[in-house]
Amino acid sequence: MSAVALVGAGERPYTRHPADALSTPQVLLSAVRRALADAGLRNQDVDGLGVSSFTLEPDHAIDLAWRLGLRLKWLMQDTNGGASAISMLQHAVRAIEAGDATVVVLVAGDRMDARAFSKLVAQYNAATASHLTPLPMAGPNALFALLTQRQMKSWELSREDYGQLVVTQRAWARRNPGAVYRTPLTMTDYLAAPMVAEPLGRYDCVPPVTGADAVVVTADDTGRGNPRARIRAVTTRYNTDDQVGDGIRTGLADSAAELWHGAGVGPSDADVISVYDDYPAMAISQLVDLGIVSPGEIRHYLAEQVATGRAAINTSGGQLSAGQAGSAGGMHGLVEVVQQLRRRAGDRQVSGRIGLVSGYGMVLYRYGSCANAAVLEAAS
Amino acid sequence: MSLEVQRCNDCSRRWFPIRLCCPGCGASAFRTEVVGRGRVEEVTTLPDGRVLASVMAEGEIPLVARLIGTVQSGDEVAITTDPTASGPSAYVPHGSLEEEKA
Repeated sequence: MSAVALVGAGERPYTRHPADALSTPQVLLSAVRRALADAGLRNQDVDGLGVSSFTLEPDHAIDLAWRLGLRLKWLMQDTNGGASAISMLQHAVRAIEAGDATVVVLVAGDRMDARAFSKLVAQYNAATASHLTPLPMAGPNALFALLTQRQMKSWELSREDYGQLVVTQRAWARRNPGAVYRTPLTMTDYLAAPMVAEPLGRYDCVPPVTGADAVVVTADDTGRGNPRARIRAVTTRYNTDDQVGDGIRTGLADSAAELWHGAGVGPSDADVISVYDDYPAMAISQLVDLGIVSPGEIRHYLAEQVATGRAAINTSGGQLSAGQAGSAGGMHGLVEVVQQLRRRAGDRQVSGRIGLVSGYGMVLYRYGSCANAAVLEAAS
Repeated sequence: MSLEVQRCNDCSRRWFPIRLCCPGCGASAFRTEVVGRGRVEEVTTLPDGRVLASVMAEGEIPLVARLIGTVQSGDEVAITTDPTASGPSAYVPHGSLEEEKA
């Protein structure tokens, strides 16, 4: 258990159609300002900054620090997409424990319009540019369609099972004014949606949006007296299987025991959960790898716990309904759990003390290669 | 045209896309071999009719391919790096070492 806490969080509202003048630095700025205001802190208090963005080029973290007018003792940039939030959080915890920084802002986001998205996915890495884009393949939907088929076969799941998660997340999104998609969605709508890549339909694929998310991290003592989310444990894994596995098993399976041991609590103690939902199959894989549900119980769990709202999972609506703001994908779930634990989740507030957040990302050739998780605890 | 893959000089395991070190043993000396055939595993059809698939080459190397001709899951097919090849086959873009170094 660390002596470090999350004391503020903010999200620059997501949009499918960014104004021409809206730049990536501006959406990042907006999230930073919201998180600092939420923490009751000012720019002058910040001495550490972590940034993750696919579209900040040619600028880097130092350019953002300069343009924000921050004078820093600690600065990092993370390139791990959907795993960047918890990756940066792991570094920030150590920096604060070591005394290298006292108030760290972590921000992730992108101006992700159609052009930026096409460019990103075509040249995601050298292997993609060489071996996938020429197929042709535009983006990862087909890869996750193949992975979802493997999962359906291994764990005997049907499209209706995935639909339970997607439809329930839309119901949560209806209580989140920040979600991009809030219209009601039924199982019939889900099953009738146009196919993107069998077995994935339109509602199985995250919609790219423009936006950003940020959190403020300090020593737990600094935040005493204010609502905060104490960081009990953070674990990360990179490249656990060299892309030659089935992809259903993520790096979380390797780190879960370490995570729960470090946190001093177990999977059944998690009251509010955000798992990285680029596709429903990956959300389910993460719930399994983290010990929340076993493969044989998934169908029952989705119907009895998730669909009924008894299990509070992806309570913002998740990326599937709120949108995927590029590199902010992982930070979105962290912001949601932090706000739930700080009792600032508005109409969708749930009760409970222990939060679980996972990140996942960076498709190298067949599936994501980075997976990480954090266990948080409400304190005030 | 057949697909070239790496074979580790030390432990003999084969890899694609190319690696700098062998994930199996850590060595960095490879020779190049061609793989001729693979077994089609999962298959997905895109709205424009293209068919993409997971193909396991010679029981060892998982590939992402576009299927050409009438091919079903479970079939053994020729692996080609020629997108205009005749079916039934599995097209795997070879790329180039230079592109991956870039």
